[in-house]
Amino acid sequence: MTNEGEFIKNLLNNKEKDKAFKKLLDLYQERLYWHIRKLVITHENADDVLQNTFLRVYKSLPNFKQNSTLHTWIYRIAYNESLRFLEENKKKNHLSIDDVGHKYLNNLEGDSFFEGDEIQLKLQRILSQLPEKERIIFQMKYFDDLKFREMEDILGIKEGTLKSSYYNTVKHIEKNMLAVELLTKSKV
Amino acid sequence: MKKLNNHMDSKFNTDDQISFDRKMHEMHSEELGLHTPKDYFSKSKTDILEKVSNKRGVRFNIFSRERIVWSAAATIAIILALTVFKPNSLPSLDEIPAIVSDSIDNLNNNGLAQVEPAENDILITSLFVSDNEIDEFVDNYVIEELVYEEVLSN
Repeated sequence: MTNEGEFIKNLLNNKEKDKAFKKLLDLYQERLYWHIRKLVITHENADDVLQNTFLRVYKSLPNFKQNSTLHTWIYRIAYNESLRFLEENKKKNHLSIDDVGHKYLNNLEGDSFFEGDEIQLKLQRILSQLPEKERIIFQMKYFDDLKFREMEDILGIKEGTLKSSYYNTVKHIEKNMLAVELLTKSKV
Repeated sequence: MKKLNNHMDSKFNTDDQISFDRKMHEMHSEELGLHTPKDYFSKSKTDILEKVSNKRGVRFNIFSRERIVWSAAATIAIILALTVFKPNSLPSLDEIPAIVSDSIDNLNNNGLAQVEPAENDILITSLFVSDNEIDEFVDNYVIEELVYEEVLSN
């Protein structure tokens, strides 16, 4: 066990760097993968972005000014790498904002590592219909379990705005999911 | 919703990490239907570590100590050669008309600049020399030339 200050020192120390980076990978690889996967949808894309994220972390460590926690800083890099990937994809495929939700579902259903049942697919459909920002806020809070304070640092959106967006989205999803459950029960 | 506790405020403990990762995997699989290939995370870890060490390896090769030492040695040798042989390479009075004639030919050659091989060598060499070394070289050269002329004029 070690505290953050010591851990950062080890990451910056030439002798300890490799061992510390391996530990960083152990700690963050899976949680960052899921964070990225929900943003870029397919496993293949998430794998690419995850690798780029860790390379970026390794390269940028000497410039880490410790204005935020290491935890937040790493999530911010992963989030920015995912956005960069999505922007490049949008440009490549000439997508407009209206196409993004449609593309989200197409990518998901085309991903061989998505095996959703009816309820899971419905939740994904509801998520795909949300504005991009609201979807990201919901996913970061609900699935990644990040604090609003940390999300403020990562997304650059005020804590109050994040809270109100999250609670509105939760209500919206609950209402829609309830409708789906009722529909499913009535079929049975 | 499963309680995940995705925070690392003061301690970094890998044992907690294993149960955290397991919960996160289950949650994404059960609620969103997302899966990963078998052994994906261990393979991905190896790939990332390999890429990171390659990156470091390339950097080390470019700036390797051996390369720097050889560049420095070559630079010093060229500077010494230029300093020692420069007086001998000065044209004699008899050669001057031929040099002037060559210069006129060059000017007539559609105004294209022609760089002599010796100048090329100096230009390439200058890439390996720091500004301080150049300044030092120029200072020494000027002093030597002035002293040389002074001695000759006496």
